[in-house]
Amino acid sequence: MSAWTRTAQLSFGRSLRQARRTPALALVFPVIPALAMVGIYAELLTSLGDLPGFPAPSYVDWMAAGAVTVVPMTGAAFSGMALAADIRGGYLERIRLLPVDPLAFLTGRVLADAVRMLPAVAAVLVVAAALGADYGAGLPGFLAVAAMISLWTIAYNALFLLIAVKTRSPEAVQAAFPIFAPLTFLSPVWFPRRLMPGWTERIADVNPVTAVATPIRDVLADGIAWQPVLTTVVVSVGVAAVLQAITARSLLRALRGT
Amino acid sequence: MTLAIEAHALTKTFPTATGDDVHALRGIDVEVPEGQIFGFLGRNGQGKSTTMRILTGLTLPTTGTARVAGLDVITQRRQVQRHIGATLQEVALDDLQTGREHLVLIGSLWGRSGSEATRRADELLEEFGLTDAASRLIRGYSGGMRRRLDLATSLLNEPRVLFLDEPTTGLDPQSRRSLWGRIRQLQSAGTTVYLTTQYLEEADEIAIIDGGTILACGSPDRLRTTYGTTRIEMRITDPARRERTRRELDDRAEIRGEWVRTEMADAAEAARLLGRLGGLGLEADELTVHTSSLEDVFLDLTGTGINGHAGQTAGVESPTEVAAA
Repeated sequence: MSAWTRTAQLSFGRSLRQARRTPALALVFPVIPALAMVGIYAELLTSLGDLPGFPAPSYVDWMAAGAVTVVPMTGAAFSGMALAADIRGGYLERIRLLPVDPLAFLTGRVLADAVRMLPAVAAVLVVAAALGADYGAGLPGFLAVAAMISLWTIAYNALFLLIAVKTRSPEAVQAAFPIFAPLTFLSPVWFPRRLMPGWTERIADVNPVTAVATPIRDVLADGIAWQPVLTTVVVSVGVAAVLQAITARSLLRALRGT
Repeated sequence: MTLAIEAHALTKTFPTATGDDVHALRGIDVEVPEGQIFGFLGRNGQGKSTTMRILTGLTLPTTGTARVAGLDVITQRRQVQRHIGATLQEVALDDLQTGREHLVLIGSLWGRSGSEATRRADELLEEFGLTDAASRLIRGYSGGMRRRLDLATSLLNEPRVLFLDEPTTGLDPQSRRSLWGRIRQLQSAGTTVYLTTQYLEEADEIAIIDGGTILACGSPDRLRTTYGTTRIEMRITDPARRERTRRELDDRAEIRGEWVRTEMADAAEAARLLGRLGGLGLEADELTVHTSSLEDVFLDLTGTGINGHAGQTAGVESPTEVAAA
Protein backbone atom coordinates (compact mmCIF):
# COMPACT_ATOMS: atom_id res chain seq x y z
CA MET A 1 0.00 0.00 0.00
CA SER A 2 1.39 3.39 -0.89
CA ALA A 3 2.03 6.01 1.78
CA TRP A 4 -0.72 8.12 0.26
CA THR A 5 -3.32 5.37 0.52
CA ARG A 6 -2.22 4.54 4.06
CA THR A 7 -2.60 8.20 5.11
CA ALA A 8 -6.10 8.31 3.62
CA GLN A 9 -6.96 5.03 5.33
CA LEU A 10 -5.74 6.24 8.74
CA SER A 11 -7.67 9.48 8.37
CA PHE A 12 -10.74 7.48 7.29
CA GLY A 13 -10.53 5.42 10.47
CA ARG A 14 -10.09 8.48 12.64
CA SER A 15 -13.09 10.26 11.07
CA LEU A 16 -15.34 7.24 11.56
CA ARG A 17 -14.22 6.99 15.21
CA GLN A 18 -15.08 10.68 15.62
CA ALA A 19 -18.53 10.05 14.15
CA ARG A 20 -19.12 6.99 16.34
CA ARG A 21 -18.24 9.02 19.43
CA THR A 22 -20.61 11.88 18.59
CA PRO A 23 -23.54 9.75 17.47
CA ALA A 24 -26.17 12.42 18.09
CA LEU A 25 -24.52 14.95 15.76
CA ALA A 26 -22.95 12.59 13.27
CA LEU A 27 -25.48 9.80 12.89
CA VAL A 28 -28.85 10.70 14.41
CA PHE A 29 -29.23 14.40 13.63
CA PRO A 30 -28.79 13.99 9.85
CA VAL A 31 -31.63 11.53 9.65
CA ILE A 32 -34.21 13.52 11.62
CA PRO A 33 -35.42 15.92 8.88
CA ALA A 34 -35.78 13.05 6.41
CA LEU A 35 -37.62 10.85 8.93
CA ALA A 36 -39.86 13.72 9.92
CA MET A 37 -40.83 14.30 6.30
CA VAL A 38 -41.51 10.62 5.71
CA GLY A 39 -43.19 10.02 9.05
CA ILE A 40 -45.36 13.13 9.15
CA TYR A 41 -45.96 14.48 5.65
CA ALA A 42 -46.30 11.18 3.90
CA GLU A 43 -49.23 10.52 6.24
CA LEU A 44 -50.70 14.04 6.05
CA LEU A 45 -50.46 14.27 2.30
CA THR A 46 -51.24 10.66 1.54
CA SER A 47 -54.16 11.68 -0.71
CA LEU A 48 -51.66 13.27 -3.11
CA GLY A 49 -50.86 9.75 -4.25
CA ASP A 50 -54.50 9.34 -5.37
CA LEU A 51 -54.27 12.20 -7.87
CA PRO A 52 -54.76 10.92 -11.38
CA GLY A 53 -51.41 10.42 -13.06
CA PHE A 54 -49.38 10.63 -9.83
CA PRO A 55 -45.98 9.27 -10.87
CA ALA A 56 -45.63 6.74 -8.04
CA PRO A 57 -47.84 4.02 -6.55
CA SER A 58 -48.30 6.07 -3.37
CA TYR A 59 -47.06 9.29 -1.84
CA VAL A 60 -44.91 7.48 0.74
CA ASP A 61 -43.03 5.79 -2.13
CA TRP A 62 -42.34 9.19 -3.60
CA MET A 63 -41.30 10.59 -0.21
CA ALA A 64 -38.99 7.72 0.69
CA ALA A 65 -36.95 8.11 -2.46
CA GLY A 66 -36.74 11.86 -1.97
CA ALA A 67 -35.80 11.61 1.69
CA VAL A 68 -32.74 9.43 1.06
CA THR A 69 -31.36 12.14 -1.22
CA VAL A 70 -31.82 14.65 1.59
CA VAL A 71 -29.92 12.64 4.19
CA PRO A 72 -26.45 13.61 2.90
CA MET A 73 -27.59 17.22 2.73
CA THR A 74 -28.55 17.32 6.39
CA GLY A 75 -25.45 15.36 7.37
CA ALA A 76 -22.97 17.63 5.60
CA ALA A 77 -22.76 20.19 8.38
CA PHE A 78 -21.06 17.67 10.65
CA SER A 79 -18.32 17.05 8.07
CA GLY A 80 -17.64 20.75 7.70
CA MET A 81 -17.72 21.40 11.43
CA ALA A 82 -15.21 18.64 12.09
CA LEU A 83 -12.85 20.00 9.44
CA ALA A 84 -13.20 23.58 10.72
CA ALA A 85 -12.36 22.34 14.22
CA ASP A 86 -9.27 20.56 12.85
CA ILE A 87 -8.08 23.72 11.14
CA ARG A 88 -8.88 26.07 14.00
CA GLY A 89 -7.43 23.80 16.67
CA GLY A 90 -4.12 23.38 14.84
CA TYR A 91 -4.61 19.66 14.18
CA LEU A 92 -3.96 20.08 10.47
CA GLU A 93 -0.82 22.09 11.27
CA ARG A 94 0.41 19.05 13.14
CA ILE A 95 -0.41 16.91 10.10
CA ARG A 96 1.62 19.32 7.98
CA LEU A 97 4.65 18.60 10.18
CA LEU A 98 4.43 14.93 9.17
CA PRO A 99 5.72 13.40 5.96
CA VAL A 100 2.20 13.00 4.59
CA ASP A 101 0.08 14.69 1.95
CA PRO A 102 -2.63 16.79 3.66
CA LEU A 103 -4.88 16.00 0.71
CA ALA A 104 -4.63 12.29 1.47
CA PHE A 105 -5.76 13.17 4.97
CA LEU A 106 -8.66 15.20 3.58
CA THR A 107 -9.60 12.34 1.26
CA GLY A 108 -9.88 9.96 4.20
CA ARG A 109 -12.33 12.32 5.87
CA VAL A 110 -14.39 12.75 2.71
CA LEU A 111 -14.72 8.99 2.22
CA ALA A 112 -15.61 8.43 5.87
CA ASP A 113 -18.41 10.96 5.55
CA ALA A 114 -19.76 9.14 2.53
CA VAL A 115 -19.89 5.89 4.50
CA ARG A 116 -21.36 7.63 7.56
CA MET A 117 -24.52 8.48 5.61
CA LEU A 118 -25.40 4.89 4.73
CA PRO A 119 -26.90 3.75 8.07
CA ALA A 120 -29.05 6.89 8.06
CA VAL A 121 -30.24 6.14 4.54
CA ALA A 122 -31.05 2.56 5.55
CA ALA A 123 -33.03 3.85 8.52
CA VAL A 124 -35.13 6.09 6.25
CA LEU A 125 -35.84 3.25 3.84
CA VAL A 126 -36.83 0.89 6.65
CA VAL A 127 -39.18 3.43 8.28
CA ALA A 128 -40.73 4.28 4.92
CA ALA A 129 -41.23 0.56 4.21
CA ALA A 130 -42.96 0.22 7.57
CA LEU A 131 -45.29 3.03 6.46
CA GLY A 132 -46.11 1.19 3.27
CA ALA A 133 -43.40 2.13 0.79
CA ASP A 134 -42.68 -0.58 -1.74
CA TYR A 135 -39.34 -0.86 -3.53
CA GLY A 136 -38.93 -2.62 -6.82
CA ALA A 137 -35.17 -2.63 -6.44
CA GLY A 138 -33.40 -5.88 -5.67
CA LEU A 139 -30.04 -6.19 -3.95
CA PRO A 140 -28.12 -4.79 -6.96
CA GLY A 141 -30.52 -1.85 -7.01
CA PHE A 142 -29.97 -1.10 -3.33
CA LEU A 143 -26.21 -1.36 -3.80
CA ALA A 144 -26.45 1.06 -6.71
CA VAL A 145 -28.48 3.44 -4.53
CA ALA A 146 -25.83 3.19 -1.79
CA ALA A 147 -23.12 4.04 -4.33
CA MET A 148 -25.11 6.96 -5.73
CA ILE A 149 -25.81 8.31 -2.24
CA SER A 150 -22.11 8.06 -1.40
CA LEU A 151 -21.12 10.01 -4.50
CA TRP A 152 -23.81 12.59 -3.81
CA THR A 153 -22.50 12.93 -0.25
CA ILE A 154 -19.01 13.63 -1.54
CA ALA A 155 -20.37 16.25 -3.92
CA TYR A 156 -22.63 18.06 -1.47
CA ASN A 157 -20.18 17.86 1.45
CA ALA A 158 -17.61 19.71 -0.62
CA LEU A 159 -19.65 22.89 -0.21
CA PHE A 160 -19.48 22.58 3.58
CA LEU A 161 -15.81 21.66 3.56
CA LEU A 162 -15.16 24.76 1.47
CA ILE A 163 -17.00 26.95 3.98
CA ALA A 164 -14.96 25.29 6.74
CA VAL A 165 -11.67 26.03 4.99
CA LYS A 166 -12.63 29.59 4.13
CA THR A 167 -14.02 30.56 7.54
CA ARG A 168 -12.28 28.11 9.93
CA SER A 169 -15.49 28.45 11.89
CA PRO A 170 -17.72 25.52 12.89
CA GLU A 171 -20.47 28.08 13.55
CA ALA A 172 -20.33 29.37 9.99
CA VAL A 173 -20.60 25.82 8.69
CA GLN A 174 -23.59 25.18 10.89
CA ALA A 175 -25.23 28.38 9.70
CA ALA A 176 -25.18 27.03 6.13
CA PHE A 177 -27.15 23.94 7.15
CA PRO A 178 -30.65 25.25 6.19
CA ILE A 179 -29.81 25.69 2.50
CA PHE A 180 -30.89 22.07 2.05
CA ALA A 181 -34.50 23.28 2.38
CA PRO A 182 -34.73 25.62 -0.65
CA LEU A 183 -32.52 23.28 -2.67
CA THR A 184 -34.85 20.33 -2.08
CA PHE A 185 -38.16 22.20 -2.33
CA LEU A 186 -37.01 23.60 -5.65
CA SER A 187 -36.52 20.08 -6.97
CA PRO A 188 -38.84 17.08 -7.29
CA VAL A 189 -37.52 15.63 -4.02
CA TRP A 190 -40.78 16.13 -2.12
CA PHE A 191 -43.36 16.80 -4.84
CA PRO A 192 -43.60 15.65 -8.44
CA ARG A 193 -42.71 18.27 -10.97
CA ARG A 194 -46.24 18.62 -12.32
CA LEU A 195 -47.42 19.82 -8.88
CA MET A 196 -44.84 22.60 -8.90
CA PRO A 197 -45.70 26.13 -10.15
CA GLY A 198 -44.11 27.00 -13.48
CA TRP A 199 -41.19 29.06 -12.26
CA THR A 200 -40.14 26.51 -9.64
CA GLU A 201 -40.27 23.81 -12.28
CA ARG A 202 -37.79 25.77 -14.38
CA ILE A 203 -35.45 26.07 -11.39
CA ALA A 204 -35.89 22.35 -10.73
CA ASP A 205 -34.75 21.65 -14.29
CA VAL A 206 -31.30 23.10 -13.58
CA ASN A 207 -31.08 22.15 -9.92
CA PRO A 208 -28.39 19.46 -9.50
CA VAL A 209 -30.50 17.94 -6.72
CA THR A 210 -33.03 16.98 -9.40
CA ALA A 211 -30.37 15.18 -11.39
CA VAL A 212 -29.51 13.10 -8.33
CA ALA A 213 -32.93 12.59 -6.73
CA THR A 214 -34.75 11.47 -9.87
CA PRO A 215 -32.36 8.65 -10.82
CA ILE A 216 -32.21 7.43 -7.22
CA ARG A 217 -36.01 7.32 -7.24
CA ASP A 218 -36.06 5.41 -10.53
CA VAL A 219 -33.60 2.80 -9.30
CA LEU A 220 -35.44 2.34 -5.99
CA ALA A 221 -38.72 1.85 -7.86
CA ASP A 222 -37.61 -0.25 -10.79
CA GLY A 223 -34.21 -1.68 -9.97
CA ILE A 224 -30.90 -1.00 -11.56
CA ALA A 225 -30.79 0.67 -14.96
CA TRP A 226 -27.75 2.23 -16.53
CA GLN A 227 -29.21 5.50 -17.66
CA PRO A 228 -30.33 6.83 -14.23
CA VAL A 229 -27.23 5.51 -12.49
CA LEU A 230 -25.00 7.24 -15.02
CA THR A 231 -26.88 10.51 -14.65
CA THR A 232 -26.29 10.57 -10.91
CA VAL A 233 -22.69 9.52 -11.33
CA VAL A 234 -21.97 12.20 -13.90
CA VAL A 235 -23.67 15.01 -11.96
CA SER A 236 -22.23 14.00 -8.59
CA VAL A 237 -18.75 13.45 -9.91
CA GLY A 238 -18.94 16.75 -11.76
CA VAL A 239 -20.08 18.75 -8.74
CA ALA A 240 -17.65 16.88 -6.49
CA ALA A 241 -14.70 17.37 -8.80
CA VAL A 242 -15.21 21.11 -9.12
CA LEU A 243 -16.04 21.86 -5.49
CA GLN A 244 -13.55 19.43 -3.97
CA ALA A 245 -10.79 20.79 -6.18
CA ILE A 246 -11.54 24.34 -5.02
CA THR A 247 -11.68 23.10 -1.41
CA ALA A 248 -8.35 21.27 -1.74
CA ARG A 249 -6.68 24.30 -3.26
CA SER A 250 -8.05 26.61 -0.56
CA LEU A 251 -7.01 24.16 2.13
CA LEU A 252 -3.42 23.98 0.89
CA ARG A 253 -3.33 27.76 0.69
CA ALA A 254 -4.78 28.20 4.14
CA LEU A 255 -2.29 25.73 5.58
CA ARG A 256 0.62 27.45 3.92
CA GLY A 257 -0.59 30.64 5.60
CA THR A 258 0.75 32.60 2.58
CA MET B 1 30.67 23.68 16.98
CA THR B 2 27.90 22.34 14.78
CA LEU B 3 24.84 24.50 14.46
CA ALA B 4 21.45 22.85 14.81
CA ILE B 5 19.62 26.01 13.80
CA GLU B 6 21.00 28.76 11.69
CA ALA B 7 18.81 31.61 10.44
CA HIS B 8 19.97 34.74 8.69
CA ALA B 9 18.13 37.97 8.02
CA LEU B 10 14.68 36.39 8.19
CA THR B 11 11.86 38.72 7.34
CA LYS B 12 8.16 38.01 7.10
CA THR B 13 5.66 40.46 5.73
CA PHE B 14 1.93 39.77 5.70
CA PRO B 15 0.03 41.77 3.11
CA THR B 16 -3.28 43.17 4.33
CA ALA B 17 -6.40 44.27 2.53
CA THR B 18 -5.85 47.89 3.54
CA GLY B 19 -2.40 47.94 1.98
CA ASP B 20 -0.61 48.44 5.29
CA ASP B 21 1.67 45.42 5.26
CA VAL B 22 2.36 43.85 8.60
CA HIS B 23 6.06 43.34 9.12
CA ALA B 24 6.08 40.43 11.55
CA LEU B 25 9.83 39.87 11.29
CA ARG B 26 12.35 42.52 10.36
CA GLY B 27 15.60 40.64 9.99
CA ILE B 28 16.07 37.84 12.50
CA ASP B 29 19.44 36.11 12.99
CA VAL B 30 19.53 33.01 15.16
CA GLU B 31 22.29 30.49 15.73
CA VAL B 32 21.75 27.57 18.02
CA PRO B 33 24.57 25.05 18.56
CA GLU B 34 23.67 21.37 18.69
CA GLY B 35 22.56 20.18 22.10
CA GLN B 36 21.67 23.60 23.43
CA ILE B 37 18.44 24.73 25.06
CA PHE B 38 17.64 27.99 23.34
CA GLY B 39 14.89 30.26 24.61
CA PHE B 40 13.06 32.84 22.58
CA LEU B 41 11.49 35.52 24.74
CA GLY B 42 9.09 38.16 23.59
CA ARG B 43 5.67 39.57 24.17
CA ASN B 44 2.74 38.15 22.24
CA GLY B 45 2.60 39.22 18.63
CA GLN B 46 6.26 40.20 18.36
CA GLY B 47 7.37 37.42 16.03
CA LYS B 48 8.15 34.39 18.22
CA SER B 49 5.64 32.06 16.65
CA THR B 50 6.29 33.32 13.13
CA THR B 51 9.98 32.55 13.55
CA MET B 52 9.14 29.08 14.78
CA ARG B 53 6.73 28.48 11.93
CA ILE B 54 9.46 29.38 9.47
CA LEU B 55 12.03 27.17 11.15
CA THR B 56 9.63 24.21 11.17
CA GLY B 57 8.76 24.69 7.50
CA LEU B 58 5.13 25.62 8.13
CA THR B 59 5.47 28.98 6.45
CA LEU B 60 7.97 30.60 4.12
CA PRO B 61 10.02 33.65 5.05
CA THR B 62 9.56 36.69 2.82
CA THR B 63 13.35 36.99 2.61
CA GLY B 64 16.28 35.41 4.40
CA THR B 65 17.59 31.88 4.82
CA ALA B 66 17.32 29.23 7.48
CA ARG B 67 18.92 25.84 8.02
CA VAL B 68 17.77 23.31 10.59
CA ALA B 69 19.71 20.10 11.24
CA GLY B 70 21.98 21.17 8.41
CA LEU B 71 19.16 21.31 5.86
CA ASP B 72 17.53 24.24 4.12
CA VAL B 73 14.01 24.80 5.48
CA ILE B 74 12.85 26.26 2.18
CA THR B 75 14.23 23.86 -0.41
CA GLN B 76 14.48 20.75 1.80
CA ARG B 77 11.36 21.19 3.90
CA ARG B 78 10.41 17.51 3.84
CA GLN B 79 13.86 16.32 4.91
CA VAL B 80 13.99 18.97 7.66
CA GLN B 81 10.66 17.78 9.02
CA ARG B 82 11.98 14.22 9.40
CA HIS B 83 14.51 15.50 11.95
CA ILE B 84 12.34 17.86 13.95
CA GLY B 85 9.52 17.63 16.44
CA ALA B 86 7.31 20.52 17.38
CA THR B 87 4.52 21.52 19.69
CA LEU B 88 2.64 24.52 18.43
CA GLN B 89 0.84 27.28 20.24
CA GLU B 90 -2.45 25.44 20.18
CA VAL B 91 -2.30 22.04 21.79
CA ALA B 92 -3.27 20.27 18.59
CA LEU B 93 -5.14 17.23 19.81
CA ASP B 94 -8.31 15.52 18.73
CA ASP B 95 -10.74 15.45 21.65
CA LEU B 96 -12.57 12.43 20.28
CA GLN B 97 -9.61 10.04 20.27
CA THR B 98 -8.05 8.36 23.26
CA GLY B 99 -4.49 9.29 24.16
CA ARG B 100 -3.20 5.99 22.82
CA GLU B 101 -5.21 6.21 19.58
CA HIS B 102 -3.83 9.70 19.02
CA LEU B 103 -0.21 8.62 19.42
CA VAL B 104 -0.68 5.46 17.36
CA LEU B 105 -2.32 7.46 14.57
CA ILE B 106 0.43 10.09 14.39
CA GLY B 107 3.11 7.39 14.76
CA SER B 108 1.55 5.46 11.87
CA LEU B 109 1.49 8.63 9.79
CA TRP B 110 5.23 8.82 10.47
CA GLY B 111 5.40 5.52 8.62
CA ARG B 112 5.57 3.06 11.50
CA SER B 113 3.71 -0.22 11.20
CA GLY B 114 0.68 -0.66 13.44
CA SER B 115 2.47 -2.77 16.07
CA GLU B 116 5.56 -0.57 16.04
CA ALA B 117 3.43 2.57 16.42
CA THR B 118 1.57 0.98 19.34
CA ARG B 119 4.82 -0.01 21.06
CA ARG B 120 6.26 3.50 20.72
CA ALA B 121 2.97 5.06 21.85
CA ASP B 122 2.94 2.92 25.00
CA GLU B 123 6.55 3.82 25.68
CA LEU B 124 5.78 7.54 25.50
CA LEU B 125 2.57 7.22 27.51
CA GLU B 126 4.59 5.54 30.24
CA GLU B 127 7.31 8.16 30.05
CA PHE B 128 4.85 11.03 30.38
CA GLY B 129 2.77 9.44 33.11
CA LEU B 130 -0.26 8.97 30.91
CA THR B 131 -0.55 5.18 30.97
CA ASP B 132 -3.59 5.24 33.24
CA ALA B 133 -5.34 7.75 31.00
CA ALA B 134 -4.28 6.09 27.74
CA SER B 135 -7.67 4.58 27.00
CA ARG B 136 -9.67 7.65 27.93
CA LEU B 137 -10.88 10.22 25.43
CA ILE B 138 -8.61 13.29 25.26
CA ARG B 139 -11.75 15.38 25.81
CA GLY B 140 -11.49 14.53 29.52
CA TYR B 141 -7.78 15.38 29.92
CA SER B 142 -6.61 18.26 32.10
CA GLY B 143 -4.53 21.10 30.66
CA GLY B 144 -1.35 19.55 32.00
CA MET B 145 -2.16 16.15 30.54
CA ARG B 146 -2.84 17.73 27.16
CA ARG B 147 0.54 19.50 27.24
CA ARG B 148 2.28 16.25 28.10
CA LEU B 149 0.48 14.32 25.37
CA ASP B 150 1.31 17.07 22.89
CA LEU B 151 4.97 16.91 23.89
CA ALA B 152 4.92 13.11 23.63
CA THR B 153 3.47 13.49 20.12
CA SER B 154 6.35 15.71 19.10
CA LEU B 155 8.83 13.03 20.21
CA LEU B 156 7.32 10.19 18.16
CA ASN B 157 9.99 10.46 15.48
CA GLU B 158 12.87 10.89 17.95
CA PRO B 159 13.72 14.36 16.64
CA ARG B 160 17.18 15.90 16.67
CA VAL B 161 15.77 19.38 17.04
CA LEU B 162 12.69 20.00 19.15
CA PHE B 163 10.60 23.17 18.84
CA LEU B 164 8.28 24.04 21.70
CA ASP B 165 5.98 27.04 21.48
CA GLU B 166 5.00 28.15 25.00
CA PRO B 167 5.21 24.62 26.43
CA THR B 168 4.75 25.69 30.04
CA THR B 169 1.73 27.93 29.56
CA GLY B 170 -1.08 26.85 31.83
CA LEU B 171 1.00 24.34 33.79
CA ASP B 172 1.14 24.29 37.56
CA PRO B 173 4.60 24.65 39.13
CA GLN B 174 5.03 20.89 39.61
CA SER B 175 4.19 20.09 36.00
CA ARG B 176 6.41 22.92 34.84
CA ARG B 177 9.32 21.57 36.84
CA SER B 178 8.82 18.05 35.55
CA LEU B 179 8.58 19.36 31.99
CA TRP B 180 11.90 21.14 32.43
CA GLY B 181 13.32 17.90 33.81
CA ARG B 182 12.21 16.14 30.62
CA ILE B 183 13.67 18.91 28.46
CA ARG B 184 17.04 18.57 30.21
CA GLN B 185 16.94 14.80 29.77
CA LEU B 186 16.37 15.27 26.07
CA GLN B 187 19.24 17.72 25.98
CA SER B 188 21.58 15.26 27.66
CA ALA B 189 20.59 12.72 25.01
CA GLY B 190 21.79 15.20 22.41
CA THR B 191 18.55 16.89 21.37
CA THR B 192 18.61 20.59 20.61
CA VAL B 193 15.63 22.37 22.15
CA TYR B 194 14.29 25.65 20.83
CA LEU B 195 11.46 27.09 22.85
CA THR B 196 9.42 30.14 23.59
CA THR B 197 8.16 30.52 27.10
CA GLN B 198 7.90 32.96 29.96
CA TYR B 199 10.11 30.88 32.26
CA LEU B 200 13.51 31.21 30.71
CA GLU B 201 16.04 31.17 33.52
CA GLU B 202 16.72 27.54 32.63
CA ALA B 203 17.65 27.99 28.98
CA ASP B 204 21.32 27.96 27.96
CA GLU B 205 20.88 30.90 25.69
CA ILE B 206 18.11 33.40 25.21
CA ALA B 207 17.10 35.80 22.48
CA ILE B 208 14.73 38.65 23.29
CA ILE B 209 12.54 39.61 20.36
CA ASP B 210 10.40 42.72 20.02
CA GLY B 211 8.74 44.32 17.05
CA GLY B 212 10.13 41.64 14.77
CA THR B 213 13.80 42.17 15.66
CA ILE B 214 16.10 40.61 18.20
CA LEU B 215 17.01 43.17 20.88
CA ALA B 216 19.48 41.05 22.84
CA CYS B 217 20.91 37.57 22.80
CA GLY B 218 23.10 35.63 25.23
CA SER B 219 23.15 33.37 28.26
CA PRO B 220 20.75 34.39 31.06
CA ASP B 221 23.71 35.48 33.23
CA ARG B 222 25.22 37.51 30.45
CA LEU B 223 21.93 39.21 29.67
CA ARG B 224 21.45 40.05 33.32
CA THR B 225 24.95 41.47 33.74
CA THR B 226 24.89 43.31 30.41
CA TYR B 227 21.42 44.79 30.57
CA GLY B 228 20.52 44.47 34.23
CA THR B 229 21.43 46.65 37.18
CA THR B 230 21.86 46.25 40.91
CA ARG B 231 19.44 48.40 42.80
CA ILE B 232 20.10 49.53 46.35
CA GLU B 233 17.34 50.85 48.57
CA MET B 234 18.16 52.24 51.97
CA ARG B 235 15.69 53.39 54.57
CA ILE B 236 17.31 56.19 56.60
CA THR B 237 15.09 57.71 59.28
CA ASP B 238 17.42 60.55 60.30
CA PRO B 239 16.83 63.42 57.82
CA ALA B 240 20.36 64.83 58.12
CA ARG B 241 21.99 61.47 57.49
CA ARG B 242 19.61 60.86 54.60
CA GLU B 243 20.58 64.20 53.03
CA ARG B 244 24.31 63.46 53.45
CA THR B 245 23.84 60.06 51.82
CA ARG B 246 22.03 61.65 48.92
CA ARG B 247 24.87 64.15 48.43
CA GLU B 248 27.41 61.34 48.61
CA LEU B 249 25.60 59.65 45.71
CA ASP B 250 25.51 62.84 43.63
CA ASP B 251 22.66 62.86 41.18
CA ARG B 252 22.38 59.09 41.10
CA ALA B 253 20.07 58.93 44.07
CA GLU B 254 16.37 59.34 44.35
CA ILE B 255 14.53 60.02 47.59
CA ARG B 256 11.04 58.91 48.42
CA GLY B 257 9.93 59.44 51.98
CA GLU B 258 12.53 57.83 54.15
CA TRP B 259 13.95 55.73 51.30
CA VAL B 260 17.08 56.55 49.31
CA ARG B 261 17.34 54.58 46.14
CA THR B 262 20.13 54.21 43.61
CA GLU B 263 21.18 51.90 40.84
CA MET B 264 24.62 50.41 40.19
CA ALA B 265 25.88 48.64 37.09
CA ASP B 266 26.63 45.42 38.95
CA ALA B 267 26.93 43.75 42.33
CA ALA B 268 30.65 44.54 42.77
CA GLU B 269 30.04 48.23 42.32
CA ALA B 270 27.11 48.04 44.73
CA ALA B 271 29.30 46.34 47.35
CA ARG B 272 31.98 49.02 46.96
CA LEU B 273 29.39 51.75 47.40
CA LEU B 274 27.96 50.20 50.55
CA GLY B 275 31.50 49.85 51.94
CA ARG B 276 32.23 53.48 51.26
CA LEU B 277 28.99 54.70 52.86
CA GLY B 278 29.66 52.50 55.88
CA GLY B 279 33.14 54.02 56.21
CA LEU B 280 31.53 57.46 56.30
CA GLY B 281 29.15 56.37 59.06
CA LEU B 282 26.17 56.57 56.69
CA GLU B 283 24.50 53.33 57.63
CA ALA B 284 20.94 52.52 56.68
CA ASP B 285 18.22 51.50 59.10
CA GLU B 286 16.95 49.06 56.51
CA LEU B 287 18.61 47.88 53.33
CA THR B 288 17.55 45.96 50.24
CA VAL B 289 19.81 45.03 47.34
CA HIS B 290 18.17 43.71 44.25
CA THR B 291 19.91 42.44 41.14
CA SER B 292 17.81 42.44 37.97
CA SER B 293 16.11 39.19 37.17
CA LEU B 294 15.77 38.12 33.59
CA GLU B 295 12.20 39.36 33.78
CA ASP B 296 13.43 42.83 34.79
CA VAL B 297 15.83 42.82 31.84
CA PHE B 298 13.02 41.74 29.57
CA LEU B 299 10.70 44.45 30.84
CA ASP B 300 13.41 47.10 30.59
CA LEU B 301 14.17 46.13 27.02
CA THR B 302 10.64 45.69 25.74
CA GLY B 303 8.61 48.13 27.82
CA THR B 304 6.19 47.39 30.59
CA GLY B 305 2.81 48.23 29.11
CA ILE B 306 0.52 45.38 28.23
CA ASN B 307 0.12 46.82 24.76
CA GLY B 308 3.13 48.98 25.44
CA HIS B 309 5.79 50.16 23.12
CA ALA B 310 9.43 49.52 23.71
CA GLY B 311 11.35 52.42 25.11
CA GLN B 312 10.56 52.46 28.78
CA THR B 313 14.07 52.20 30.08
CA ALA B 314 15.75 51.37 33.33
CA GLY B 315 14.69 53.63 36.15
CA VAL B 316 11.02 53.01 35.74
CA GLU B 317 9.02 52.73 38.93
CA SER B 318 8.16 49.23 39.93
CA PRO B 319 5.20 48.45 42.16
CA THR B 320 7.49 47.48 45.05
CA GLU B 321 9.05 50.90 45.04
CA VAL B 322 5.71 52.59 45.06
CA ALA B 323 4.70 50.44 47.98
CA ALA B 324 7.91 51.25 49.83
CA ALA B 325 7.34 54.97 49.34
